[in-house]
Amino acid sequence: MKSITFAVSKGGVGKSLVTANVGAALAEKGKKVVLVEGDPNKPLQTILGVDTSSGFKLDEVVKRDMKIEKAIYSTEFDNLFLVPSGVSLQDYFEMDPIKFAKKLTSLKADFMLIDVPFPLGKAAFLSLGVCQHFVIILTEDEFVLCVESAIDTIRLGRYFLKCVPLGFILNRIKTPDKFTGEFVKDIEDLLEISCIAQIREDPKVTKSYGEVGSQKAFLAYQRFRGSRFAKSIDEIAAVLLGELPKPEKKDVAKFIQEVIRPLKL
Amino acid sequence: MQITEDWLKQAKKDPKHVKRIGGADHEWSGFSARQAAEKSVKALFQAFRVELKKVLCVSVLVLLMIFSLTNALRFNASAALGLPVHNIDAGLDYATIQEAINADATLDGHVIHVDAGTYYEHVVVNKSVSLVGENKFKTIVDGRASRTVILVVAKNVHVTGFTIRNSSAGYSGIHIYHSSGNNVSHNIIKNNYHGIYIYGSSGNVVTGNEVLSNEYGIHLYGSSNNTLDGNNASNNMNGIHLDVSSNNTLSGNNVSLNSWNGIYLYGSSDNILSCNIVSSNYGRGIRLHGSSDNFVTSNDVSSNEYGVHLYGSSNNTFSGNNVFSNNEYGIHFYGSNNNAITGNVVSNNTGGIWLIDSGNNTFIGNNVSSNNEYGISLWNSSHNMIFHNNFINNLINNVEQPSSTCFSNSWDNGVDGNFWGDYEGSDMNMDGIGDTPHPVDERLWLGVHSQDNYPLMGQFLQFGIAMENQSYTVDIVSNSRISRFQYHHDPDDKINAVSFKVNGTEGRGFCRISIPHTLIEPPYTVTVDDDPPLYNDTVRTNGTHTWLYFTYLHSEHEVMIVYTPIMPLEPLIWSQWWFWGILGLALAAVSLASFNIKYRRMVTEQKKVIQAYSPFEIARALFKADVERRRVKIGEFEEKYGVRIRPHSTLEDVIRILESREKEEEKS
Repeated sequence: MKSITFAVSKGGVGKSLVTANVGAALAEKGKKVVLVEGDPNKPLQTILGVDTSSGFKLDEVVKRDMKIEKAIYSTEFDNLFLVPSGVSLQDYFEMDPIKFAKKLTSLKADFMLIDVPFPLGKAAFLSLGVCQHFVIILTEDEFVLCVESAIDTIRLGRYFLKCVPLGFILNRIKTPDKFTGEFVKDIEDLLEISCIAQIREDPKVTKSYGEVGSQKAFLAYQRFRGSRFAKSIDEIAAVLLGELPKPEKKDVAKFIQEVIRPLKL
Repeated sequence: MQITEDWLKQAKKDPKHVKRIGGADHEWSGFSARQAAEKSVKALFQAFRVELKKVLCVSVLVLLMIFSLTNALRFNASAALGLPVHNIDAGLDYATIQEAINADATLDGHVIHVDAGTYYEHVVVNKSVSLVGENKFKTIVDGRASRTVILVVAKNVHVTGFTIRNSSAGYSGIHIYHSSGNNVSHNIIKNNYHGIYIYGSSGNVVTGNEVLSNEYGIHLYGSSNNTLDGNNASNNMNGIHLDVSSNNTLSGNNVSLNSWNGIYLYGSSDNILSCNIVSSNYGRGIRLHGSSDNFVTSNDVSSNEYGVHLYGSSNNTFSGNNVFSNNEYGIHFYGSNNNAITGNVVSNNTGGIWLIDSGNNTFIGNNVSSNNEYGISLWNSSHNMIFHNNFINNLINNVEQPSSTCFSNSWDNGVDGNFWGDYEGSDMNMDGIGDTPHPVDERLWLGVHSQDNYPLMGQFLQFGIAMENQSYTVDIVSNSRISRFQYHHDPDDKINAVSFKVNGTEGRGFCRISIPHTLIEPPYTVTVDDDPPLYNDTVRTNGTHTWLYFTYLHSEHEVMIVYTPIMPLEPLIWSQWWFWGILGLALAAVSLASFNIKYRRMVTEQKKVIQAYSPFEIARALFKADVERRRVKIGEFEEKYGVRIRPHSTLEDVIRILESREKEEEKS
């Protein structure tokens, strides 16, 4: 199982949107994909239109030591499933981060994509600690902040949390002229990872996110098939489907117990 | 009175006479006894007339005289009635031997004892009796030069203890005629034509007789399987003569001083002549004429005119004879082929061996030495094989092949030749064989005609060994004197060995010895006085024999050759496939072990490092290194795009900012 999380430095970079659409793209290519909803705002549930209010959630599974299948929800897309965390991921630190990690790694799927909210705190530590790979998302807005945060996250993942950066996505590009080939190349040299995709700002796509709790949300990848956005999502999915850099071997539960937990953030 | 005394004296003398003549002439003794009685009575009457008073005394005297006379008469009567030939079994006596034999009471198997005396008889023995003379010197049967003295026509007759003499010419002392199983022993048989004549008879034994001064000492004609043993046949014309007779055995006889031949075989085959002493005969010592397949072994043949003479005789074997000091040649063949002459000593004769018109004979292992002319002469003789002989000190030359009519005589057997006392070659390759051939017959116009290609460097000696009813020979070629040759056989322990003494005065001695594997199986250890020889090598082996060559400094040494069991040599270890297999595995194991040790050491060191530094400290160090490494890149990027990028410079900074951000988030 490939376990991937999308790391961001600030809110509004389109992390949940990218996660949902990449998940849908992978599922459409026949892969069983489980999306882990770590954001209490439940953006994935919104986008995918899944109602989990009456069922078990991950926190209950961890607390009651149930099988994780109890907390897996199917979506209207084949092969695409959702696990609602129930609480913020940082709450698992207090609850039982090791059992949390064990439950997630016991999932039977081709891909597990974990959606964690901004900022990069305990939840992000847990997410990177559980996953093998992560993808950096940069936006034109506050680009320098994004780069600074990206450098920090890459170092943190690579040297401390044993999570391998796959590349970066330039999302919500408003002025494509700025992002020349040379500029992108320089960013790649600076971050020492490659650019996976460039996604231009598209109001239609932005709308797919809807308002929080809005029923109007939708999955742009599905609705705008053949669009530039959809192609960019396919590019990302193609990278994930390909051969990924070999992650450093880690016993996640042990890793969390020995490395992350002592931090007592 | 005087007359009376005279008569009385006469009467007294007569019994003395009777006593003196004993029982030899009983008629004369009886006459004397009667005379004594008569003279006594005359003396008595004379006394009556002269002096009556003396009658009583004279009467007593007469009575005494009569008493003595009676005794004398009694003795004389015994002599007159006791005949000299006694049938011991029948208890009867006879006047003559023939009477005893002819008597009806005499049956087969009876023993007839003959008192000493001379019996002028021509005895015909037609019953299976034993005739036993009282004393062979005094019990004489004399034929008075007429016919045969004793003719044996019955079987199983024994004649012993007689002097048998004076047959007429053409007749015999004892003639065994078409008979068998007879035994003639310990007699003196002389002055007959045939001493003992065995005619058409077989299975007779003639032993211990003195057969002297006959024309033919012992003569066998058409007779077989007879044994002539330990007789002395001397001063005859022919000592022992076998005429068309076969399978007879002549052994231990002394045949000497005969005027023609010692032992003469004519047309006779398959006879064995062994251990006889044949000497000083004026013709041939042993003569074979037209005779074949005879074995002539271990005889001493000396001082005859010719020692051994073969004429037109073939397939005879002469071995182990000592033929010496004969006036002409020791061994002389004339027109005789395919004979084997082995292991004889032929020495001090005028000539050693002389072949005329004789071929395909083999001369092996003979010692031909110190003859006054040639060692061996071959005239018009071809295809003879001559090897392993020693030709030494023959005065004119060792060999003579005087005519160009000798062809293809072989002087070696392809491996070994002969020892020549005059050979001057050397043996650099130390195999006991001279390095250069020895010319046997060199002629001015032909060059070398024949040669010994393998001349021996020392004398050839052969030792016979009997074991388990088989006979074997051990051959030695040596320049030392060999003595006390012994074979040591232990069938239980299989410890077999030969030992002998070698003796020489100076220089280096050598032995080349051939050992039958049956006697001692190889490999061998040779010791000279319990030490290894100076030089020791195996010359060759043919599967049944092995030839060893060894040397020593000359003096007296004890040589021992013994079977030495050795452990079979293991094949060279590196020629074995498993050696390379094991070596490969061992190298692989060592490599793996070495690698494993290095790996474990490395892992241990890493573990030590990891244990020494917590994951957090390691991460912090890596983080710091990354900051340092990427600092220049960030500077270039900032400069290029006019921005300021300030990532956190430590892991703690990142964690701290995350914490602060989290708190800010919680506040907001």
